[in-house]
Amino acid sequence: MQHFTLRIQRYDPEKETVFFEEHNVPWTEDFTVLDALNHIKDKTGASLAYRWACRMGICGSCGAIVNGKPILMCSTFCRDLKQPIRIRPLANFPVIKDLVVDTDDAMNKFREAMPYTKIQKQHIAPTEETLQTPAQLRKLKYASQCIKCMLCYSACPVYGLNKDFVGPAAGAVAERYNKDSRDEIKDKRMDSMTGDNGVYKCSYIGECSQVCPKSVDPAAALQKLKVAGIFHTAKSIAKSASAAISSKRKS
Amino acid sequence: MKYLEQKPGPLWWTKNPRYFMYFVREINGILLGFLAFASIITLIAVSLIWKYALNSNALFIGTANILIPVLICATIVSSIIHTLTWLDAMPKILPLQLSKNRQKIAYVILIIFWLGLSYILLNIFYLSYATVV
Repeated sequence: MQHFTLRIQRYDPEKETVFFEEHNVPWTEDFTVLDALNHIKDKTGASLAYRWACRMGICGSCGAIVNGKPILMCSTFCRDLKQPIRIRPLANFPVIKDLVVDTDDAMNKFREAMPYTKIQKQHIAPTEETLQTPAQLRKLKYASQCIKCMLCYSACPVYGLNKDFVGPAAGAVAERYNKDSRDEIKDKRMDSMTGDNGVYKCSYIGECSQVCPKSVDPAAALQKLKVAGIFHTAKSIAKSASAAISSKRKS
Repeated sequence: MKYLEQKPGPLWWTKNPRYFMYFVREINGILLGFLAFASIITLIAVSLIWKYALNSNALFIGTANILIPVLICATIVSSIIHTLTWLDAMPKILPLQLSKNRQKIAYVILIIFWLGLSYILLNIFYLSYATVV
């Protein structure tokens, strides 16, 4: 093979037109899709717009749909792909230009997952560390690997059809903080995650876990949250019932 | 300047084998629900026929219809697909943190357990009942 052929979907926001461009890139054994795009930009001076930063699958910026699958372009070799390599922006997000999408909506979903650990200060001295055992870490490690690349949102038809759905990555992040032995706001987080557009909207299609470049398995995290949500709801009902009974007794 | 909106089209479920399998799974659920309802109605009808028209041919009218074996086969296939997808999901929802390999092992164990249970139910309940009848 003499070259790779890349067929790129482009969008011109000024003219509001979608068009396709084909480029040939000299065959290089270790070229990733991102390298090929950089080559096109450098050599041909194309006004192609796409996001990238670390080039090593850490920052999660260079997500795109390549040959029909959401992937990180920096982690996918051209030699492994069927020619021509078809590249288009991540699905389910509004396209700003070419391969650049607006992920603000999905990013805001992370707020619902309360992605932080709240430790009540009276439990620890200011100089004291809040350590975890390896066993405690193992429970949350898989979900803590999320890099917010948004490939799972792009693969999730539920999010595509209902933008209010909290989504896979937010679910994985919520599961990560729920499993943290130091955290004390699990109940609040569960209230947020089991709302009208929470985890129960997930139909368990499972594509989010297939496309995750960090093997986070958001589909499993969402199913675990569903089960935890049942216990949480039962607990809330029991709590409010006992509060009602005790207030009645007092009166 | 305007952003390009992207939404899944009406045939989004045909674009990916996993989406398609999801649709098959959900349609199975509808089919199984319908057949469960139909079975209850049939059971009531059969028990009534048993009670009031034991010696008539009414009991065999239903089984003579070509649709019945087709529906039975569809139900069996649907139940198998539905059960397999549920057993696949089971190891993932457990509070235990299982690696992907252990999830596969748990899936195989669950399938063996399911087949064993089905065999016992078939032998002890269904076949012994059929012999009595």
